[in-house]
Parts: sequence; structure tokens; C-alpha cells
Amino acid sequence: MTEPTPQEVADESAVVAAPEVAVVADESTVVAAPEVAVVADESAVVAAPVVAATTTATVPAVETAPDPAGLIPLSELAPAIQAASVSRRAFLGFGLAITGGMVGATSLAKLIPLFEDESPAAYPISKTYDPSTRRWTFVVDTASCIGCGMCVVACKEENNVSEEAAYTRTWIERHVRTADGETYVDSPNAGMDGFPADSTAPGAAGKAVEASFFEPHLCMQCSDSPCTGVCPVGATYRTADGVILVDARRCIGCGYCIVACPYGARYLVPAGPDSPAGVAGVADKCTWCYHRITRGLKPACVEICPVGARRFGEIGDPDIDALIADRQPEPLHPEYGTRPRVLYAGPAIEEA
Amino acid sequence: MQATGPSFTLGRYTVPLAPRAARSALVTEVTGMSRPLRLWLGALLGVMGAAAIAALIAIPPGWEVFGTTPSFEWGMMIVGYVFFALMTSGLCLASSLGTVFGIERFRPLEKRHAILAVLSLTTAFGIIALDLHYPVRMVFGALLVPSPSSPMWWMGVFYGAYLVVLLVEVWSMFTPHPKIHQWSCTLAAAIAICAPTTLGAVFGVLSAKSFWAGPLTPVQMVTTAFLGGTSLLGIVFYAVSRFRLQDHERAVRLGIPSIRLLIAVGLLIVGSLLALKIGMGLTGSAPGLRDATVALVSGPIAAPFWLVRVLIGLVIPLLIVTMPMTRTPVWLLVAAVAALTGVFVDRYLFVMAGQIAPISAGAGMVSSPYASYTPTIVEMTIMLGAGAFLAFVYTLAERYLDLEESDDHVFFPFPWVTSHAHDVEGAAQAPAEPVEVAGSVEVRPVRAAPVVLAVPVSVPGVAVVEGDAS
Amino acid sequence: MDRVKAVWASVRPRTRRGGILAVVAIIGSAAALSVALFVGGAMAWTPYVTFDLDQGTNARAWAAFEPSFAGSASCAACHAPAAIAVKAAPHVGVACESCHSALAGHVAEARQSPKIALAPLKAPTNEACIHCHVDTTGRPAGFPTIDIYQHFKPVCLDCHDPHTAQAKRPPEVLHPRADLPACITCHGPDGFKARNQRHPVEATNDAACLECHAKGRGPQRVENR
Repeated sequence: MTEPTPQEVADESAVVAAPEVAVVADESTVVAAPEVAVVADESAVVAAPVVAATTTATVPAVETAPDPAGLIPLSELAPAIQAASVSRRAFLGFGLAITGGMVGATSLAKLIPLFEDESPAAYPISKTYDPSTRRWTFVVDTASCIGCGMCVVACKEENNVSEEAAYTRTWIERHVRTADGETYVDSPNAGMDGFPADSTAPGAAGKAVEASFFEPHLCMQCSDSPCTGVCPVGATYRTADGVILVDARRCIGCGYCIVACPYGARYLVPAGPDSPAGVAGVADKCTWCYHRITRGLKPACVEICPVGARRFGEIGDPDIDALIADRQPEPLHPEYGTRPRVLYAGPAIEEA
Repeated sequence: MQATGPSFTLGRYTVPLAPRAARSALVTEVTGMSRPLRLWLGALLGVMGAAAIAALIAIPPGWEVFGTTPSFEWGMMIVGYVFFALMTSGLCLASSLGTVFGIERFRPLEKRHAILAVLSLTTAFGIIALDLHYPVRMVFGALLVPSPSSPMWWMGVFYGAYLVVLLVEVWSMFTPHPKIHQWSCTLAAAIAICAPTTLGAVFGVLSAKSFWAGPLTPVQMVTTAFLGGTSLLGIVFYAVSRFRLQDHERAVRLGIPSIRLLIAVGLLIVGSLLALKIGMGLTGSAPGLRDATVALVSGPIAAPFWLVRVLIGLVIPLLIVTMPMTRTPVWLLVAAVAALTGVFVDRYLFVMAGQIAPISAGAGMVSSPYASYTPTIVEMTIMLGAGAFLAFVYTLAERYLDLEESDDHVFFPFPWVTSHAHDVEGAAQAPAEPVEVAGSVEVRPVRAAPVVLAVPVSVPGVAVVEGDAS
Repeated sequence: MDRVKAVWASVRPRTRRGGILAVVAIIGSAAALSVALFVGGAMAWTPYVTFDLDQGTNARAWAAFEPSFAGSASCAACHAPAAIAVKAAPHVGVACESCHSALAGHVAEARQSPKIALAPLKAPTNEACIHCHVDTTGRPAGFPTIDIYQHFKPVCLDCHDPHTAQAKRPPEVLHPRADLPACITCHGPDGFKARNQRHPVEATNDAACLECHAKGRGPQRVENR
């Protein structure tokens, strides 16, 4: 059973909407979300002429399914189905109820954008910082990144992030294209110790390198962020300046935002001495060093980057505007449709 | 049991409350059990004890004992939660054929399904409470900050309501409240569709995990839930017929053939959906979808997929339920166990395949083409303990509760149409009484032994069924 | 009521000791239960009672953390000469704390008592330099890197001044050393210590050099070859 088209739904509902089994139709209304009922009602009118055809088509399909399987035919084993003439319709009703439920859930999934992206509330962060007036942007220049890993170390130090490589707010990947056309990606220890001379990706050893570059990663602070949409308790949210934060006191640690993030930017804080918000077991992610940018400093990784591969500023800052005009940075993986606000320039975009 | 001192009545049993009497009654009860039963309960208690230790280790902040990593955040506990939560819905779907939709041959499933459903849902909640790092916060958070954009929130809403409805259903079943029972059954059947679809939507909305994303996921969830529920009922009904438990005659006559039919239908649907899913995955263009599907059919998780998921979980049970010579309760047990194993492995592979191909590399995991996750001993033990808990409590329920299906409430299609037959006051007031009576009169003879036993002799399977049971 | 009495009659303590034990057990378990409920409830509720469900509160909490990295501007406030020098060096744009590690504490200390001499900063080690300047797959073309197996290995800062464009004069390298690299590492066309232009260019192996420069043969004697 694939996603039922409105036509199919209409057909079935038209069948069961015969007067004597009106209850079945009621059942579907109860079972399914309201919007399904609307779909069924509208199309029932439209599809009325095909009722007869679909009745004959649908009923045997349900009933004869077991036959080729060599089962006792329903007609022999349970005369009740013939005796109580409701049963056949009941079977149909069962199918309709299931179909309705699925259509309901699918529509629910489609409706989600309606709920999402409530305009972020404006609240002053401090006397000198009004988030609603800021338009931060982050540009990563993969043409100049040298993969030294200082940003990763600085981030961990600045934000009290665990020393373990697996739990990190930012990391560096090395993308290597070998002469045979394969692409290998490695990130030993999240890049915090720098990179060995040759790629550590399995299979890359000994191959001639055709092109290679480093690609720093961090939270993309998406404008259509999946993480904020899926959080069941509203623990992760977007501030007025576009930074997505996690309320460590509300997070239940379910991990949903972590599997929802297409950029792998989130992790659950491990137990141990280091935790950014002082709480273990909750989701954490890059905040663009919210405590720094609200004080007029740059994020720690931007501050520390020796080659200027990470640039941070506001739309309207002359150097940021010039950088954007000059390098035409683009988001990574725009196909996820999350509208990332970290832009990449250089081979990360050109080689993709 | 002597009636000295205070006591309460549980089914056919009088349970003394005074400590000494209670202790001696317990000793009498346990020594009175058959040896296999004692061994069975003892073994289950042992597994539950081990799982209790594992759960104590895993209670926050002990979640570090799980094998999950940031790039593989959902592991065995999610598998277990999905398995047991969907099992609940499957049980309700199977039994709703009889209780809600009034199909007579599915009627004997009612009481047993309800108890199993409550147990299964409780197990699922227990597992997810161990997996969540702050389960108590979840209750307050979901209530105080409703998040309608989150499928997980809706799932919580539906499954929370589900537990309440199921408890009401069980209560109304054993303390005859037929009207409440009708309503709760109908409501449970309704939620039995909504809940797994939202659970499917939890995975289905994640465009980050293309193997999970899409409208096919909720559909698969509902159908595999149905298969899982009927398979569990198959195992239970085998036990009913084998150990000649209450109502076994009816169970063998109506229950087992019905379950065989349902399993066959379920296997066919699940099998075709699986084929569709694999086909869509191999031809799909979404980032990572093909990688994940390739990992499933020829990558690191191909062995469990082909051997367990396809062969044991689909092909073998389908052969068993369709071949006439295997139409016995024992073979039904084999088919049900195989299908249930297949459903569990399906859950496992589903959760694995969704995360195995890191579409965007997680930190430190990017070097290998596939992310890896191995369940830890603690996770495995908790899973075993969850199953043992379900089996243990159900065994007790089977022993001490009156699971005899009443012959009186023969048919109640929908509460708003007609009232329950043995709801005396309700039947007296209900205007629809004639309809009900007519239904009863018409249907009851069908269920009476002679009619159904008069299955044509040309169908050998049923003859074997009867022979085995007697 | 009779039922309650019957229950009580069956469970009431039969002896004085039993009664005391029962009272202690009841009070004890009630106390334990209330503590558990109180603590558990407080833990569960705290986020919601102390937190007004306004996300701004949490955003302000994130904004309230103290930085560890002070920023180069803070350094330039006191260390003007070095800061100016860096502006002219190849290391222009490199933040002070990239090499000198996080210094917010140092800055806070300096602001508190400007006149007290602070402990001198730790000089970066060779590892700090090599971290960026070692030859590695992935580094952009044009970025100055060295092959650490070929490069001369004294302390980097002996020859290179990270703050200025001008390289330091190479230190007196005592040639009676065991770990000298090939002669042309320093004395080749790209080396910092030029050799006599009359030397044949193709003479690239040590043996050729030592023809003349071995102990007791010519000028600039190399003692250990």
C-alpha cells in the first residue's frame, strides 16, 4: 500500500458512504485527522460515478488475497461473514480506517511547515545588544584553511566542550580526490591535533592525490532548521539574531534533533567534567560563541584562525560584503532545504 | 484457600492479605505449579533480574553505557521502543477486526490482546524512559511547551492517550462495564492507527536521514505493527492450545485459523512494501538513500537482512502458513516466532540503515564509508529483560485472570449503533436493541461448535488442528 | 468499616517490639518517600518554576558566559610594539592567542592591577610552528611549509622571528654536532647561509663539500665530518 492518492481514498469512502453503513464513514472521521475527512468528503462527490467499478475491484482484492496462499476460504470457514452482511463492509471499513490514518499522518507531515518558523521573539540580551537588529553571517574560506585544528581546540577551551573528539561543536574534514576519481574524507580526532601528511581514510593510502582541501564544519544556524521543528519539548529554539540555542534545562536528551540535523552539528553532552551549560546528557551545538558575539567579540574559532579561513560579521560590514561579493560563497548541501547561514567559499563549493 | 482474615478476590482466586497467610498461600501456590511452569517463571525472573541490574546501570546519568555515538545517536533502545510500541498497535489492530469491525472469526482475540497490549506498551515506555536522559522533564516539557511541529510530541500525545484507553479497556473488560468497554475498544482501535503512523512520521519527516524519510515509512510501520501483533498472538494462542488454557477449544477453533490468515495477509503486505522500499532506495536520488540501501542489501548489514529479515522473517513463515500440511498449531508457532523475529530484526535494520551512511560526516566518523554501532551488553540485557517482563506478567495473567471470552457479547459493531448484549440496563434503554438481538441470534449459531466444525473434510489443515487440540 | 477493622486485626503488630518496629518503619519509609518525592519533584520542576518559559532567559544565560580568549585588540592595548610588528610580518592577521594560548585571565589581571609585572608568557614551542607549517596533504598551494625531515632542526625561533618580516641572523651553528642535515640544507641555493659563489652548483652531496671542508683541509672546517 503506497501513499493513497486522493482518488483512491475517494473511491473507498464513496463505497462505504452508502446509507446503511454511514457509521463506517463516521469511523473514518474519528480515526483520521480532520483534514482527511475533508479530503474524503470533497472527492467522494467527485468520484461518485466510479463507485460501482471500484466496489467490484476492491472487495475481491481483500477477500481473495489469502486464496492463492492455500488458506481455508473465508466463505467456508466463517459463514459469519456471509451471515452478518455487515462484516464485508466492516472489512472495508477496516481498510478505510487504516488508509485514512495514513493519509492523516502524511498530511500531518506535510502540514508541519505551517507550524514551523514562528517568528522568534525579540528580547534584549544586554544593554548593548539587541538581537533583533543583528544579521550575523559566517563565511568559511576553504581555499585558505590549512587544517591546523586550532579552531577546534579553541572552541573546546572557550565553551568548556568535552575533550573527546566525538563530542565537538566544530571539526575539520579533509577532502582528498585521488587520481582515480575517488573522494576520501577524513577527520582524525576531529582535526584537533592537525592532520597527518596523508589521508587516513580507508583505501586512500598510497594513491596519488589530485586535489585536496580542508573543510571546517560547525552549526549552520539554518533559517529553516529541522532541529527546532522536531524538538518535542521546545528546548531548542532560534533567537531573533538567528542563532539556534539549546535550553539545557528543558532538553530531555532524546536525540531527535541529532538525527534530524543533516550537517551532524549536534551531539549529546557526555558525562564528565566538561559541559558547556553545566549539564550532561543534553543536546549541545555551536552557538557562534553567543557570549562573545553579544559582547562585540568574534567567535573563538574566528578569532584564533591564523589564516582567516573563518570570517564572521554582519551583512553590511564592508569586509563581509566585499568577501561575499568577491568570493560568492554558498551554503553546503543546499538540497536539504534548510537554508544554512554559514556560507562556504573555495574548493568546498567548487569541487562539489 | 481458607477464608480466614482479610482477603481480596482476583478472578477465581482468593488472595489473603494477612502477611503470614499470604506467605503460606504463595508457597502453596508456587509448590502447586507444575515443574515446567516453575522453571519457566524462574528463568524469566532470572532474566528480569539481570535486566534490572542493567537498567540500574543505565539510569541517568549512566547512559554512557549505551553504544550510541553522536553520529549514531539512536540505537538498541530506540529499536526496542519502536518494536514494543508498534506491537501494541498491531495487537489492537488484529483484535479490532473482531471487537470493532465485528468480524466474528476474529473475536477470540479480545481479552488476551488487551492484556498483551497494555504489557507491551508499558514495556515500551519503560525502555524509552531508560533511553531518555531526562524522562521526567519530558512529561512536564510536553505538557507545558506543546510542540505541534514535532512528530515526537504527537507520538507522545497518542501513546499517552493510548495507555489510558488501554487501561480503561482492560478494566472494563474484567469488571463488566460493557458500554465503556465498547467505547474504549473503538477508541483503542482508532489510536492503534494514529499512534503508529505518528511513530512512523517521527522517522518519516527527517530529510536528513533519507532512508527514513518519506510517506512510505508510516505505512510500513502500521503494516509491520500489524504483522508483529498477530505473530505475538500466534505464539500466545499456540500456548493456549498446547497447554489447554482457558477457552482453548474456542481458541483453536477460531483463533488459530484467524491468526494464520492474518499472518499470511500481513506477510504479503509487508513483503511487498519491503520490496517497494528496497526498489525505491536503490533507484532513489536523495542524498545517502542509495548508500543506505546498498548497505542494507550488500553492505555491512546485508547478512541479517537476507538471512533473518527476508528468509526467516518473510519467506519461511509465508511458506508455513500457506502450505496445507503445516496447518497445525506447532507450525503456526514456528511461523509466528519466525515472523516476529523478522519484525524485530526489521526494526533493528531500519534504525541501523537510517544512520549507517553518514550523509554529512559526523565528527570523527567521516573516515569510514559506514558509521558503526554495536549494542552493548547493557542494552542487550535490557532488551531481553523487556521481553521477559512481558512474558512473565502475561503468564501470571493467563494463570490468574479469567480470560474466557464471554459468549454473550457476540457482536457489537459500533457503540453508537447498538448497545452491548449483556449490558442489561443499557440494552433495556437502547432503541437499537432489536438490531442487537437480531445480530446475536443470527451470529451465535455460527460460532456454536457444530457449524464451524463442519468445515469440509477436504480441508485437511483444520482436521489436523482439531486432532492436535484434542 | 468492618473490613478495615479486619484488615487491621490481621496486620497489627502483636508485640510491643513489633509495634515500635512498625512505627519506625512507617515513619522511616514515609520520610524517605517524601524526601524522594521532594527531591525528584524539585529536580523535575526546577526548570519550569525557575524558568519563565521565556526563551530570552535562556539566551541571556548563554550570553552570560565569560570568554576565555580576550582578542588581539586587548593585547594591543599594552603590547603595542609587538602588535605593530605583527602587522608588518608574514603573520599579519594571526591573532596573538593563536600562538600564545587563551589570555582572558591575563588581560583581566592586567586590567585589575596595571602596574604589576605579570608572569611572562610562555614562548611557543617548535610544535606550535610545525603545527601549521609542516607539509601536509590539503594545505593550500603557496602556504609556507617545510619538510621536517629535511629542514634544519634547532629551535625555530633561533632563526625565525614570528613578529617581524625580517629573519633573525642565523645563530652560530657549531659544526661539531651529531645531527646536522645535508650541507646544502643551509648552504644550498635556497639556504640562508650562502656559500662561496665559486663552488660548483652541481656539488650537492656532502662528500663533495668535505673534499675541502673536512677537518684540517681548508677554511670553515667541519669538525665532525
